[in-house]
Amino acid sequence: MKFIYRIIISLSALMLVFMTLWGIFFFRAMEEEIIDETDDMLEAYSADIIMKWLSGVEIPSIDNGSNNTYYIHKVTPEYAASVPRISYEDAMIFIANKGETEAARIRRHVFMDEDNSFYELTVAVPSFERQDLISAILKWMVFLYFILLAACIGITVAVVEYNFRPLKALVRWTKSYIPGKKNAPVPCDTGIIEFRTLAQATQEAADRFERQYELQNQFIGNASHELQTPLAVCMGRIEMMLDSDSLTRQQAEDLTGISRMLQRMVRLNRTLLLMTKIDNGQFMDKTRVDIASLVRDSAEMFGEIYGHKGVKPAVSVEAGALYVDMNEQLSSVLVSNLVKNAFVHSPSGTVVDISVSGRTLRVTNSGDAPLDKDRIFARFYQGPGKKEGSTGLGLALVKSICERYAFRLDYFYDGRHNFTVEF
Amino acid sequence: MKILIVEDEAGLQDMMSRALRKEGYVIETADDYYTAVDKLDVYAYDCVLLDIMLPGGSGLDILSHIKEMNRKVNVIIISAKDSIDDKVKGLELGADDYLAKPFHIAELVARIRSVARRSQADGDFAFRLGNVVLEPETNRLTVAGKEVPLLKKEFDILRYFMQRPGHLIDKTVLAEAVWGDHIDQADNFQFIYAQMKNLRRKLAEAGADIEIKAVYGFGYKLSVRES
Repeated sequence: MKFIYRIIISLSALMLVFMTLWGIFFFRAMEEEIIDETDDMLEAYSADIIMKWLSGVEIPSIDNGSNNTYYIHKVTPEYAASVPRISYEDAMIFIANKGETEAARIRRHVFMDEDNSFYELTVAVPSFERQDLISAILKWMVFLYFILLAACIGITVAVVEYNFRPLKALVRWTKSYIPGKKNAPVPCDTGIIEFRTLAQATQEAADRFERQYELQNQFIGNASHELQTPLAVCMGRIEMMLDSDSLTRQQAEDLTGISRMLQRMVRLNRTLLLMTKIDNGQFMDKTRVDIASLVRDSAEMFGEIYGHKGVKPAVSVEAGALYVDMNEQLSSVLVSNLVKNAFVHSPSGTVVDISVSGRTLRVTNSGDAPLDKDRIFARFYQGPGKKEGSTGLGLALVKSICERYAFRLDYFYDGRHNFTVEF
Repeated sequence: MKILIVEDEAGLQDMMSRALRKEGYVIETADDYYTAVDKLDVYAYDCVLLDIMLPGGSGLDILSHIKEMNRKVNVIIISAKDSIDDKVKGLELGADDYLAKPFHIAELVARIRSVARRSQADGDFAFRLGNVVLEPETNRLTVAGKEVPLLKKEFDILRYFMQRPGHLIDKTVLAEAVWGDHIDQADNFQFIYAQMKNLRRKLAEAGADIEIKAVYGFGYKLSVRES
């Protein structure tokens, strides 16, 4: 999840809780205030009427254009004693000037006339006005809530995006970083101390890594290189000895054994050098290579070599050809190592399936148990069926090449071993 | 044939000169840039085996020097750096061949022979041994004047032997040379036996006076049949 989405979600969630609490509180307060105001108004109104009543002034007509209504009843002293002197309630009442019953806020006031008779004054104001007001407030509150939320998120996003530009640049740099390649310096164009520190630390780590990578490559390259000459001398001398006629059979056999071991070293050495060269990007030139035709050639060759084991290839090419722009030598190394690996590790009497469909090459061979996906592509890793004389570098080479060209190399097990390369 | 070996590694130089002397070549050696240039200025050689990294200078400079003198000398570059760049540069400068270390002596001898053949025999690149003539350019094999049809792998095997008559060839080396780098020594060599059987049968049926003998079960040797 992107940082900014996380901020938006947290902000929205927190805002929802706090704004709702605030909204409820605010709404309740408003409602109370409105009722209070209504009651004050009713109180003033009834005081006015009572005053007028008691002083014998003409009391206002009911139909005075306002929605206020009042009634005055004479009540018994027992009733007067049984109810509170002043009471409020919300109830339905008949509004005379409208001629209909409506919900209203009602104030009852029991008072005593100068002739000691009790009267009850009922003043009422329809509550629809109050309800209208309250619903208007509610509507505005919800509206404001969303406006506020949007504004809050908008401002936060803008501020975060603006201020996190250095971090974004750093992330972009990290993504584009390829070890051993020419990488741009870590972007450090900021005055923020934390980001500067982060960028500097990244740069230092990258530099250190780069140096070590370089050293490691140099070491492998140099070591392999320096071995070439001594290996040539040993091989040459053994060959000379083998050509001599005075050798006994035992001596010849021993010498051949040594010679074969030497050749294995030569092969190892050559493969390591090749890998170093691939990692150093020394195979720059590209040509259009037909992977399908390489696959057919490899399948035929290994079919011949492993014919004695009874392992047979089955090649299927969907489109007839798969063209890839890459170094010719590497393309052939890639395909033949994958195919060879399948042949070498196939039990006898099985079939190696090689298919090219779309831009994917898939090599499938039989096997009992899944392999360790994280390790099969490592240098010198040999699976459970370790083979005498195998370098353990074949798949590592494949991986190096795939990394060089950003091909997707994958392994999975579905009862058989499947290796796929997506070009 | 006179050969100058320019190689600073004493062990390798010694091994090469001994092996090539055994083949009947006249060998001289130089172990740095200056000795090599001095010798090349004074003496004439048929072939120069040239290492690229030398004390005092680069083998490629010696190559330019030879070409400047306009001498007709075959040059085979022998380098520890098996890089395409070096190879291309060397061949562009006029080297005749390029051999990466480490190499088989038999391979070196074969290269020297083929380089010499190219410069001497005008357009005739055929290998001849006994009554057998093998023409690599046209993939033709004739025994006593009669053409013998061979399959591709059989032809490649025979060519490999014809370039190295009298040498013991380990079957793993043969397999690698003919089938490519992908052969592991752990592999069974059944596929070679089958090809060898057919090749020997075809040679015998055509009445060739050369034969490929199995030696101790791990190698082969091509030799002229003693009548």
